[in-house]
Amino acid sequence: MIKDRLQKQLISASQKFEEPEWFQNFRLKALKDIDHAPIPHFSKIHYQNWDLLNGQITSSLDLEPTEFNKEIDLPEKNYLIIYGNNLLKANIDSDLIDKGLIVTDFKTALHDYPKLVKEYLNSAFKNSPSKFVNFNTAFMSNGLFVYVPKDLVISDVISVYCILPSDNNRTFAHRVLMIGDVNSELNILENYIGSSKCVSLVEEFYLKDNAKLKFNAVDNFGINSDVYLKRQFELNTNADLSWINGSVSDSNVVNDFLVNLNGENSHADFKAVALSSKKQTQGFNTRINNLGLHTVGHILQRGVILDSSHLIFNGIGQIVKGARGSDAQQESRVLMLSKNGSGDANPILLIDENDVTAGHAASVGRINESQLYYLMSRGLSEYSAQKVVILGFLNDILSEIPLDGLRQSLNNLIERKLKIG
Amino acid sequence: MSVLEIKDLHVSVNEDEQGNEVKQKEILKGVNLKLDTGKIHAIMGPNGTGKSTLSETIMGNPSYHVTKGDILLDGESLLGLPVDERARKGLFLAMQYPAEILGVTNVEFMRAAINSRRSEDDQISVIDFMKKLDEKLDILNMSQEMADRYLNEGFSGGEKKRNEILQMMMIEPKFAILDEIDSGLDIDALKVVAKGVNSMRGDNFGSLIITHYQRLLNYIVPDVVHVMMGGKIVKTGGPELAKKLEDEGYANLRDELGLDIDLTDEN
Repeated sequence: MIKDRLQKQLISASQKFEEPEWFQNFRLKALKDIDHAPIPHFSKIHYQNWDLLNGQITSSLDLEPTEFNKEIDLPEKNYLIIYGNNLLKANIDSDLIDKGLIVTDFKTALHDYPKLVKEYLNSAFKNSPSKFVNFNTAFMSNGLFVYVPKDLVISDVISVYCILPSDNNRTFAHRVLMIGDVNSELNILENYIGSSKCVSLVEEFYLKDNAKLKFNAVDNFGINSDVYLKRQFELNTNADLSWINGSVSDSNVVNDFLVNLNGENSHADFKAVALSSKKQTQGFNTRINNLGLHTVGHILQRGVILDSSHLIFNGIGQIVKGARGSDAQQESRVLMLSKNGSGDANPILLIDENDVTAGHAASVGRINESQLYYLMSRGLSEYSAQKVVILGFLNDILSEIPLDGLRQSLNNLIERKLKIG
Repeated sequence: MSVLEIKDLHVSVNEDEQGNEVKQKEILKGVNLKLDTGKIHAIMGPNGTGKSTLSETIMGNPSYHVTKGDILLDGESLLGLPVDERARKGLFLAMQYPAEILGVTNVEFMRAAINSRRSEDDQISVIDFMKKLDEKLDILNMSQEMADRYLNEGFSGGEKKRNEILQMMMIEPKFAILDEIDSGLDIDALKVVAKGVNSMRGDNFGSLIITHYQRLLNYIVPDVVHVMMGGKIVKTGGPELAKKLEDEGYANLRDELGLDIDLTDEN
């Protein structure tokens, strides 16, 4: 009964937005498949009671445009603002557009570049059905589409701001589809701001031979949201991914991260900082699969726990049989500032090949009292001293951020969280 | 002029916990001391006699419990105040083992320390700060590079000591307690540290120098010398008292005073 109603709603919304027929069918099939698709299990991350599959509350599909009134620090150019379900502003260098770069919202891409969208959409998930992906496919209302053509090297950062409507009675489902063609280079910054009751984000990235991507992401979801955030990267031969992930949300977030190093010599470097406060839970299931020869996958995760929050880092490195000469390294560290919170750092290495290198380190520790005492003995308040120790703990990652603006804004966001935490 | 007064101070520390019972051991057994700005005091004494306990307790290290007595700054008790408030009121402790902290540079840290004493709308300007820093680095023969490094991170023992003195000179406390600032220093470094401390001398600065050896006191000549044994000040005198101790040893003084105290390192 509910399904029938949802199906009718989907069809009418899809028609209203003049979606191509294949896409409407795509949605309907996904809706039908939700029931049998499995819910992914992530060790130690308890999110079963979260509101992540709520297609029945007012869906983002019929979200009307609203006046945009958030203050964000915009760069001079090369940015895109998606507010709710609408592309609010696009300011991309016309020179780059002439060279074939596509940066636009998903709805526009569906109309203007249906061939590209159809070719790639969901192809990364073919062999791994998931309830969350099906849900997103059925209910996604917009998102981001980026295509970097062959041989185009973009050194400037493209900044994308995706702003949720901060309406706590909605489902907000967006899709990101990014393709870096052969020999291309892209440096992108993706920001999520705002809240919705049920948030479903599925992002898929395809890096072709020799493609390079610097992917910087900051999520700053507001309180009272339950968020499922999936990011999956498929790397071909010699492709290179440098990924910095800053999590300063106030909501519950489960991060389902996967990099497949399919092609020979492909390389992925993942660095995450996360700060948890109040009663929130943030879980990271970060997995890199070394599938091709001589592939390199590194995971570095650092998190801080305040109040009665929970923070879980799972790091999974798998080297399959035949991926000779590969390297899987990971390090996850959690710093606890509160006796009421809890944290976990679980390193998992799955190695089926002999001729490889691999290593892991993990720790969950309390703040060093002698450091605090030393700093305070010079007059710093307890809050300032904690801030110094925390920023020092996160420094391995913060100092590596190539974008000054991002480093500064992450610092500010961390300080803000410490203040209210 | 400011006065730091220690009155009949008794201090205990927790011994190893056995079961649920925490045993306390008394280290200071009634210390009396009065410091004025404008003067440098030295405390000498054998190992294990409570010198470091005294300095940490004055600063407000939570590991030390005051069981009796008081610590007064210009007549106001400091006992209920946490370490950061005592620091902002004008106390400074150059520590024996300064902590290493990644991610914050010396420069950033010293600016934060100075600004913690100033109001929000009266923060020290970058230019004033850098000017002062250059001046102090120069006195201590330290390079700008050291100031730009992470706080004590990877510093040698001698560099850490020098850095403590640099912080003191930048912060300009009313009273600085220097806890064995001479340990691990070669003679050249010792002279540099002494130069730094001597440059602070004046009506608004008082210091309490804690040391085993008289050597440091050749370079920082104290106005008053106290000898501490068995958790008490047992004798007070001028700089000549330090020289006498160096010649005759602590055991001799103890016997002269007729004290019944075991010295840790006595043969």
